[in-house]
Amino acid sequence: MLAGWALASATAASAATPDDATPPITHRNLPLTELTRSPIELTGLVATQRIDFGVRNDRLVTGAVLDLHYTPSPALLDELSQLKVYLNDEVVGVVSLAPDRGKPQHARVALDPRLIRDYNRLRLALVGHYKEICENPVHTSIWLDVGDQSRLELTEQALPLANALARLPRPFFDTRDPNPLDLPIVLPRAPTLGMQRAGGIVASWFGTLADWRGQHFPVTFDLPPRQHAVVLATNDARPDFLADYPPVDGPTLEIISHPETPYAKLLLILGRHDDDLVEAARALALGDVLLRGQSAQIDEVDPLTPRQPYDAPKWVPTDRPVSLKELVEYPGQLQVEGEELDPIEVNLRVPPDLFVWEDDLIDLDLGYRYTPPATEEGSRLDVAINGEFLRSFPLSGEGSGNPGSLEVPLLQDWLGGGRKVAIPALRLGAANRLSFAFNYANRVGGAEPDRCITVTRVPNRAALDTSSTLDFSGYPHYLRMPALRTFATAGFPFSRLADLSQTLVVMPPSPSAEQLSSLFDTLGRIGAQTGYPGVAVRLTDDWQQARDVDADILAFGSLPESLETHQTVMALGPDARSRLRLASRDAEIAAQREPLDDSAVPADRQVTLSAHGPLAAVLERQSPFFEARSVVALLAAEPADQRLLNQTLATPSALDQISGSVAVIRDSGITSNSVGERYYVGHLPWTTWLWYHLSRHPWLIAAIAGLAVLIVALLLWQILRRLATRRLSDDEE
Amino acid sequence: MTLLLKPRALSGLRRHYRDLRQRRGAGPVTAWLYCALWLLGWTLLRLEGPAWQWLLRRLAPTLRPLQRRRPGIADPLRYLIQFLWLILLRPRQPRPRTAEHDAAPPRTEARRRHLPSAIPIPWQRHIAGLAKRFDAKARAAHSGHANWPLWTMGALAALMMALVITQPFTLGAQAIFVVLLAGIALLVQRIPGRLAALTLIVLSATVSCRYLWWRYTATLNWNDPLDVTCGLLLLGAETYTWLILLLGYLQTLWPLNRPPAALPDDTTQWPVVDLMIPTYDESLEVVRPTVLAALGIDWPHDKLRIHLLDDGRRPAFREFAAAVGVGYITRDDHRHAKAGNLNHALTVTDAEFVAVFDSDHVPQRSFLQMTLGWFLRDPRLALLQTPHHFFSPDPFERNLGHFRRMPNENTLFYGLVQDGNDLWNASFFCGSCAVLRRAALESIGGFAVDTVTEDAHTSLRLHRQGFTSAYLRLPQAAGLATESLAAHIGQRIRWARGMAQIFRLDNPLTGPGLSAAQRLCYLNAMLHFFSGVPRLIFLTAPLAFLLLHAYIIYAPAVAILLYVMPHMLHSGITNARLQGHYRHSFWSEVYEAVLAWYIARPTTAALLNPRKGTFNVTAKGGLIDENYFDWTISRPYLLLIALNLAGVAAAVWRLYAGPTDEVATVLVSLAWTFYNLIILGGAVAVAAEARQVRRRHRVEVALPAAIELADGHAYPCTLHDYAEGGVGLSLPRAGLLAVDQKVSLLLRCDAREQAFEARVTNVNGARAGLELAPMTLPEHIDYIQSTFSRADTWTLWRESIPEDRPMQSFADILSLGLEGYRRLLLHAPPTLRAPLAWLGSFVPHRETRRA
Repeated sequence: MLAGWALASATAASAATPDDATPPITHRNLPLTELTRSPIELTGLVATQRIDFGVRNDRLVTGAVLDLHYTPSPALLDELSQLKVYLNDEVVGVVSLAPDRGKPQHARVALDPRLIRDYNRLRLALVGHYKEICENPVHTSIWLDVGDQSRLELTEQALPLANALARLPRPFFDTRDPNPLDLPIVLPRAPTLGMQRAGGIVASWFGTLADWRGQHFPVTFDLPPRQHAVVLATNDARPDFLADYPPVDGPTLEIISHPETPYAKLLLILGRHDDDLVEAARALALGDVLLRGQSAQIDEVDPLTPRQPYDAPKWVPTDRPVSLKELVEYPGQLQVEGEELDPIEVNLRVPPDLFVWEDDLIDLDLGYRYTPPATEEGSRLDVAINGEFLRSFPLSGEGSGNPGSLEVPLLQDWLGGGRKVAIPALRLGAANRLSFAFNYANRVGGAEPDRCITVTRVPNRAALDTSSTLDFSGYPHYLRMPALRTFATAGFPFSRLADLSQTLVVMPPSPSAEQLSSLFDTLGRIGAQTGYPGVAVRLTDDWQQARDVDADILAFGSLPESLETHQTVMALGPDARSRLRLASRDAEIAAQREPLDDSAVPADRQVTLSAHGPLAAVLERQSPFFEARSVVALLAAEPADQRLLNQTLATPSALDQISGSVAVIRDSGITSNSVGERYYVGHLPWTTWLWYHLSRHPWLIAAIAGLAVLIVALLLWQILRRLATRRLSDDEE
Repeated sequence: MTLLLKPRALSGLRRHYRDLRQRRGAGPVTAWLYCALWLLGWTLLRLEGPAWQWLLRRLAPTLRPLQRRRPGIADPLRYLIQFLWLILLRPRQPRPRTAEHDAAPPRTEARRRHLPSAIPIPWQRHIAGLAKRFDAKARAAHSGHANWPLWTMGALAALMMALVITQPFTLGAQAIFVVLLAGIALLVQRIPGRLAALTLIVLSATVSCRYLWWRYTATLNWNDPLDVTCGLLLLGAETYTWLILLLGYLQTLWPLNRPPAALPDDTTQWPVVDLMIPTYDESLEVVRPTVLAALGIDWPHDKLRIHLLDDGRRPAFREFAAAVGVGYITRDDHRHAKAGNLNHALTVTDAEFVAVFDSDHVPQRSFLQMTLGWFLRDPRLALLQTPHHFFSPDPFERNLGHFRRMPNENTLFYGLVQDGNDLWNASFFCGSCAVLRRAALESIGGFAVDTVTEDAHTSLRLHRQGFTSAYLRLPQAAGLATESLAAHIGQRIRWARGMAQIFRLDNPLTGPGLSAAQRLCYLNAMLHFFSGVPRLIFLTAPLAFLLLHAYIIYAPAVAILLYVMPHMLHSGITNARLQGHYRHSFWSEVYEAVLAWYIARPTTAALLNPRKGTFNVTAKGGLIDENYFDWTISRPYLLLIALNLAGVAAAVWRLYAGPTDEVATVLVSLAWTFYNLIILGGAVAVAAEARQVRRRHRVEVALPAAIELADGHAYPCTLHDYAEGGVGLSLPRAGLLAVDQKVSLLLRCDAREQAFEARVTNVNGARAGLELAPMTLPEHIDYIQSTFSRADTWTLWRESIPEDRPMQSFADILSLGLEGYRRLLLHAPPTLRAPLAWLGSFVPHRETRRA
């Protein structure tokens, strides 16, 4: 499972011809159930199914066929029942359900490619009847099941594209393409640190664009395969195929065609030297709205104000209540329409280091409107978090609701990976999904036999108030480390400053293509997790330099021996030797219980062995140079190990399994463990610290109260007694 | 039926039925139902058994009101409720009358005395004894010196307090914490002594601070404008009561119990006193006893100058003054009312000390000897105040019928607050029954005239000048309480407005000359009168949720209970301990509720514009001719009751139709609404004015006396009440006296006996009423001396009042609330009355009804 690239699932291998004259043709097969993310069954109640698909901007669809496998209900009447196929609201085919109902059937519907646009909506509508007259339109015998093998077959032809910077990020990244971004980066051999840094910034920017799709940046030192790619070059160091390119006199961005085919484009990031290159990369990341023409020279890039901690665009603000309006990703996200309403979904990421007490609840001040249900009985709004049901509210005839506050649990516990949680809670660091499902109980048709009622079904509408708020303010930022899950799901601690200005990347002295790819993938992923390109990231290949920089360290390859002691949790040595210390499960769970306990989790075993076969690890530990800083090391010794690491980290499901202080990656999967020294990052007010520790000791506080009261009473007694005496004595004043 | 029943039972049943139908007028259905139940009862229960018989006997008195009714169809339900009431709430035991106090033997020292006294009776001996005891105590306390470990401990304790107040808990932990603290409080409560009282105070203050901290930090919902508006209003009101609670604790931390100071043995060294009795429109009957009693004060004759300051300029007063030989001072204008009157009198008199008495405050003969000692001891002392004691019931006492069975409204102030203020040198002038030093008064330009409460303002100014004040908690005068609720409210409006004026014009928090404690004591005295708006908020707060669905306290119902209950419990326990003698639990709520509406507006207006507003004289000595219900006064309460009833209806609806997770909140709000309804019922009960027949107030006592018949036989008897013109007696046996018989009443006055001619006006068994014959002036003074002016009467009165029992007090309030609704019903228009009366008939009856 790990070995498979996520992007391969939907796309068949492309069959490009070597001939430049004829544009390459691609065949795409899109399984319907993957497009809808759920099995398709049409019934009397839910008689239509929408299927959305997009087409890349650099492709033209020349042929499209809907290959339909389906099973209709045997109860349907021959003359009346049919399946209609719409493409972008035009009927493109009707399938009669006449013969052999009840058995799997097959039909191919040719779709007119001229109707296909960027975003397309395919609609299957069942016209199902089981009786001539007086039928119940939602009778259970009306159904049609669309099989898993059903697919949409697209024949796409590449389009010749102009070399226009104005179109960026297209064609390198296209929002209509749901597949993970796969963008080769071409570097000269033995790239300098400046080049690596520029590449990192570019990867980070593409990461912010790729967002949930995932991203992979394979590195080559030669001409890339015939596909879109990014090329970095200075006047001094260039990939071989650009050797003849005229030198530039400043940071320059340019688009040219692939030397071998006009259908693939190369984004050139050029400069006289490394600094120019970095400047160009930053210009791309920060100023892409200004780019135009085929080539652009950068004069100046000035980030006017420094970024503040936790201001990542994709993280919810923690200094004030956040309204749902701010979390909207596309227009119309907060409202739905239809006979059966899809859930309204809101995605949000919470900074991973909020200090949350066990039972902390976030106030969701929810308001919503909806068309009043025909029947109030059973109509309701279900609220779920990350697929877990939280609460439901009845939908009354009023048409609007404001249940005051809905309390949403906030979960920090899961960061340690100590237990599997299946409670409805917002998870710190992770991408959370709040879903609001408006369910209407329908009363359609006559329940009594022989009594025909014709019912016109009207669509329902529902919307969340944009002023609904979630309040994460007032929590201190304080987190016990190591917590690799925060790195895996939120790029923490590097993402604390979204431009990575407090990140120092330590690369091996002469990195391999795989290691560079690993760097770019990681920075790209952090960009996707923060939504902001890491334009201020710093790179070094010298651990001595790391001593002087107050920053979190992201290390690739291996840790220097100076950092390895016998306490080191994991070490990958040469000759396929590896050493690992592990803690028992009980110790891990016990250590997880108290969020303010920073004693080390004792290791109860240490294993050292040599073996062949790829092995990689992700390791987090306190920085040896600065107290509240962390080192995250992506350890891999051999190129095979490095490839395993890159592939694993590109798999979303694998990321979920990384937690604790060390994650060991083998080709069979990931094992995470919390072991060794622990430390804190962030700042906790001492009052909170004290309150937290004492909140479990009401007996102690009551004793303190009793004692304090007694002391104060005694003091008062003394003072007042003297005062009273003075008031009553002769020699007052 | 004949088959089932023995003939005897059948005849019994028939008799029963006939009785119901004919004698008690029941309808046939009702009678039949009754018989069936009767039969069922006899069949299934062993009603003839001793246990049942005992129970029925016990229940019989309380069932009488029900049995007197015409039997109705729903009567079984009424009986059931009545039974439950009796089972759940123990019937009140009749309160022990404390006659033994009143019957204290008269003084034994035998010295015959002529009027007016030239050689005073030496009260000093008694005083000296008291003072010596105090001095000894004082010296003992002086031996210890302040040391730094104590202060370190204090700082440490303050830190611990801060922790205890702010520590957040889960609900479970809070529950444990709360129970532990309540345990401490209940334990400490039983320990006698001031240290235990202080512990209770500190504990209660801590718990209340914790509550307020929680309210501020955890219970406001800023997201919803309605919630936050209502919530902030409530929080403001709660902050106000919290402040009043803490300031009240500060005031009453250590009541000083100041003893009287001894005067020199040589009476020639005693100072000269001007005794001023300002009057404006009071009748001569009211003023006369005051003047006569003043004449009887034990003070060297040449050193006491009595002045009647008549702003009404009435000839009758001039003649009266001339007849009894007191000064009569008038002026040409009425500027600044009483303060102006007194200031004018200051210009035409010159004694070193000024004693002020309202025209209805009858001073005791010991007044000056008790009070002036402190002036000689402390040259900076500018003011000595004594309590105002009322021998007539105030509107609460009269309308609720608990005169002398419970502390009255101002007992708290004169019994505890002023005494506590004295520790901080912050007792203030209350307009009457006080002595002031002329030099001090002149240094501040006489009595303050800027506000309508000249008394408090005068003492504030004295304190600012560095003078001291003292308070002697011995009632040395007695007067008439306000007659009607309207008058009472009018008086309080004046005080409230005056205090608000001072608050604006001469705020005690700022300005020179005051110590911190004095500022706080004055602050409390003033803030106290701003209770109107907060009280109205409390009376309507639960409606914000029930009617408007606003979460005023944004927390789960359980959390609210876990924080608010300890706050109330601890302040309840502590106040019961501190104020038990002076005010019973929960009564403050009724008093405040009655005033709330009326003082809310004037205080707010005076805060905004302190110079507006007029002086209204407190009307006293009036008559209320018949029982009536003051609809005008009670209109706001009726509105509040209607609102709260709407809240109850809304609560029922919410329980039925609302979401299940709100049930607890609804129940809490509902309980609060019911509590408000009870308090409002109490307020309504006060508004039903009871009849006041006698023009002259009868004071109930139990004094030994004697009557001498025309034939020379004398019989000992007990004086059980007196008024200015007549007395009531208990005779040793019936038939001794006849109506219209002429007798002599022998009364003891300082161990000498005084005879007064009287005529018997009524006889009822061993009781008889006497009307006194017209008396000469010396006789009249003697009569006043031996009755109103007796030295210890009022002190003993106060001690006879029973201690507070919070649960009992709550039961009292509960029945008072119900009583309010009953009275409302009695006075309601007939169309409204019938259905309400039917509903009201389900309310159970108390076993002991007041007379």
